[in-house]
Amino acid sequence: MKKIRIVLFLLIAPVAVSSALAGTGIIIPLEPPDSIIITPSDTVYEIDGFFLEEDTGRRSFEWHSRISHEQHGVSGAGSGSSFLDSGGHTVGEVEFRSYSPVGENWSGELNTTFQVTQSRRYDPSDFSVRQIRYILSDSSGRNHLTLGDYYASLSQYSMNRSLKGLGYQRNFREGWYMRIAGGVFHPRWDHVAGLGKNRPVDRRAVGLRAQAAGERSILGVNVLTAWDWDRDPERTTQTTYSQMLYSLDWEHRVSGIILSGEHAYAPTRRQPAGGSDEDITGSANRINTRAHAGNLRFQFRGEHVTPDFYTMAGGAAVDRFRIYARGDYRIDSNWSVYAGNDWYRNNLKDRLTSTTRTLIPEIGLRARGLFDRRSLLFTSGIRRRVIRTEKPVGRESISDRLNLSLGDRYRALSLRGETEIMLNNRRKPSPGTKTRDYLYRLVADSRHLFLSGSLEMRPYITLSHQEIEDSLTGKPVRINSLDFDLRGTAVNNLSFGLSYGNRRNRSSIPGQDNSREVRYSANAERSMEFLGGARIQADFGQSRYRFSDSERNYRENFFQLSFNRSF
Amino acid sequence: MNIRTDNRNRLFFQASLLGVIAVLALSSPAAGQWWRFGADAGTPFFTDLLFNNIDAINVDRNLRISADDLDAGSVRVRGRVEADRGVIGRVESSLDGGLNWQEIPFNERGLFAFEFRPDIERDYRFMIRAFSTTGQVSDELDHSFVFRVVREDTRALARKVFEEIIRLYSARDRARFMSYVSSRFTGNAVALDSALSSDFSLFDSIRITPNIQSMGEFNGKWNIYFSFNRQLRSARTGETFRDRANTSLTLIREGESYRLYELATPLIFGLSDPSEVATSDTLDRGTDEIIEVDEDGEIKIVTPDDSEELDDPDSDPAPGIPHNIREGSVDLSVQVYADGSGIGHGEAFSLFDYTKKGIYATMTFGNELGSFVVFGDEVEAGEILGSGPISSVTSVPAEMGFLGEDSEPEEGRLYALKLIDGTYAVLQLSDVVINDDEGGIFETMTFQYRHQRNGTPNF
Repeated sequence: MKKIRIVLFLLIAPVAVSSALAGTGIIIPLEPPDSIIITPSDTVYEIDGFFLEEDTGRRSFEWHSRISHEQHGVSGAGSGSSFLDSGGHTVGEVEFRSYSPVGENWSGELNTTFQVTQSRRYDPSDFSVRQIRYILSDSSGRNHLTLGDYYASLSQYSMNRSLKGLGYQRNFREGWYMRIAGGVFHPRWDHVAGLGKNRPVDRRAVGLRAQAAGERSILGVNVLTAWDWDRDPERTTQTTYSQMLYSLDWEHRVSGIILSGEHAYAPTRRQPAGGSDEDITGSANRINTRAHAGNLRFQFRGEHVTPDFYTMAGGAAVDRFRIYARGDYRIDSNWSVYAGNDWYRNNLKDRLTSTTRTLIPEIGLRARGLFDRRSLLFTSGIRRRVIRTEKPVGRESISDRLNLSLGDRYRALSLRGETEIMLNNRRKPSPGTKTRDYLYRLVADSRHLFLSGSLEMRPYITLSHQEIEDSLTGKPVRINSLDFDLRGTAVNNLSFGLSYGNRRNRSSIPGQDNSREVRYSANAERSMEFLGGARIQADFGQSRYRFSDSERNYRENFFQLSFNRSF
Repeated sequence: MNIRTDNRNRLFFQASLLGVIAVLALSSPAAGQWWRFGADAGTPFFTDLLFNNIDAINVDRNLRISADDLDAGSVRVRGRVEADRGVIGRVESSLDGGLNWQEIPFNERGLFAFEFRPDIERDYRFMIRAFSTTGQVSDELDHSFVFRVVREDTRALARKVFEEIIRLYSARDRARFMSYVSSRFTGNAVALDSALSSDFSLFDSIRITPNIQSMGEFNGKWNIYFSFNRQLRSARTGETFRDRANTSLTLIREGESYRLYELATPLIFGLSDPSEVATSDTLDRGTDEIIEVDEDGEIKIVTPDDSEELDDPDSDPAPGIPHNIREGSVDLSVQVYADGSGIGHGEAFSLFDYTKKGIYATMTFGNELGSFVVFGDEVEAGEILGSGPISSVTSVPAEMGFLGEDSEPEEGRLYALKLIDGTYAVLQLSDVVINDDEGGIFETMTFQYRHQRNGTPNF
């Protein structure tokens, strides 16, 4: 086998060399593929029925460390309102990564990360294990095993969570595979070990996905079993669950149309603390359509999730029936229009006192590249949101939003202006209220090169004005703000930044304070060659908060120094 | 800046924007022929475009991939082109903005592939076009973008996007934030868009410091679990709200960047519409209190247990769970300022969501002007019952008259209430405390309440 590989290498090497000699950025046409389906990364090259494997036999070990210290200072009569915790906060993190071959055809990768801190701002524990993961894969790319931290992704409704356990995938042929994931859904390793405070319930799950694919279709079958482990006396007040969940997801493509969907069914046992067990069964269904015909693009989304559908490892908005449709039509190379409507309701099984229905229609107009300016972009849209809750609760509110935006780039200068107007009308319960909110924003940024390109400066400036009407008094609150950032990059791996922000809040509401917030900061980052390429970063700044009532004033100072080094 | 200056600012902004729109409208080219709907149906169009495993069909201006994304140092581009009428005659691609075109072979189903070896950190102006046998050509600008392989790995790319969307939310930049929301967002992206508008009207200052606890990647998705410190300031009242919690979100690779794919509770974005925006729960959310926004736009801090109640305040209890009756007590205060500036707003309480409110808000009952118990628009009818232990009230009249206020309240007095949602409650003014100090007179009324939520007047 080894000889065959050497021979094949000698055969393919000239091809590879010729490609390399051809230089980078040169398009090399390939034989049209049989399918567009995304496949796992290839590490095998097929030539005349033989396979040549990429060399994966390297062995390496590297580690990366990061130490950061923050110093916060808060002063003033109103310092209790500060966001910062006065004092010093230090955190250190070290990550180890190693690669090694396992036998002839397998390779392993181990990642571990540890963190140490004295600050509860970062972590509830002084020492924590942040990551333990071992990945074992074979050189053909057909087998892939992960132990430890694993992001288990089967389908939206069934399983889409990070877990601590194992994951295994076996690839058969293009688009065909089987995936198994199992473990416990604890984000923290100390909770897995039964340590640490405020541990959530131990939720455990095992899921299986099998996928088959054709030229234009994909079909996936998912089965999940999950259960909460409720023997811990600390957690007897929580409701726990156990369930089986079955789901089927699919995709089919016909000319210019992509149809996809998922259908899930979940019998679940709910165990309220102190109450009797209860069996609930729910289902979730979604269908998506994207179509493209000439200048028209259309999308449709329908979803129906019953109130008793509970997914322990996936995601869904329960007790919802939703229909969304949107069409985009390109009038010409510059102009396009769109229209959409979103409608959804709850209370599908009449268990609530009343039903809430929401309707969100919208239309918009867009333009790009007017006046032969490719970077010019204009967008506009009107959206109405109507929320009605039936009697006896009896609520009804309508809000209209108009937004306009115009942006363009002139050489190095980029400009964008936008406005948003919201008209809110709460009709029920009476007495109703009407308010208006306005937002105006102007954003500019540019890029400049100095010293023959060795220094690059990017200033950003944002001006905004906002008016918000108070629904109780009808009086406005006006907010003006200015933000300025300057980011620079110089030779010798030096980058730096300056930032300034000024925000004034003027309230016409009787009894309310006016306020002003001024903040400025500076930062610099540099790679130090004499420290083995270590990066050192420093940030410092100050924020001042002023109110009409000076007893609320306070000031924040902060300083941060970070050190990063890879070995 | 005074009000007159503010008005001038507003007028200036409005005039500028109207001027820009007018210029655009007047300059609208004659080519804007909307009535030619469907006339270009024979134009070829690309339905798929992959750069290795990265979907690039909707890439707008930039496509950046990491060195991790390369396949043995190369980018393999695969795609499919179709035409509603006619047959595809030729496919071409360019890496230099159309100066040089390379013909790409394709099969009868419109599938094609080619590869190139890019330099790291070098820009390539990618373009692709297709011709039909009837002479029509796809729009070159549809899939025209700058391509670059950057040094960062995908973890660093995802982390950058995570930091950027938090920055955009803190900067209250809705439009740019939404550009980072995936078309495959598992929640309701339309509702998220509306919720952001509401969030940015509610909060004039948003500060979030995230601390990533762990990141997991699979099939182009990064799941990020993080703790956060957050401070929000109410634009209307100036009140500051702070919380700390753990939550998670998921990003998905889409073209040039990662985009928001899923949000979990406790929510960090789109607080104004949590039931539509979040599709999963973070099990380890911590025991700290969490900021939430109710249907009336009231901002409050709730514990995780309360949060579950408030998600659906009018929901009936699940069968087998004996919590038809909710009991509790609440202190409602009012202040008379010593400097003679008047009487502060009293406090009120809602039995719809069990939170304190301002006296003018939608409420059930409140303390106003120091010696009045007032009843709000959540009360349909009511009656003064007398006095005695609140637990001794086993039923109240099903039909009662109008009860607007009690201008001579006494300690121990009981009230029966019928709410507009058809439920009944018993209320008792259990204590009245008056403190007189330098700041003025503070009066606090303590109420006990029992709320029967199953719609019967029996307790």
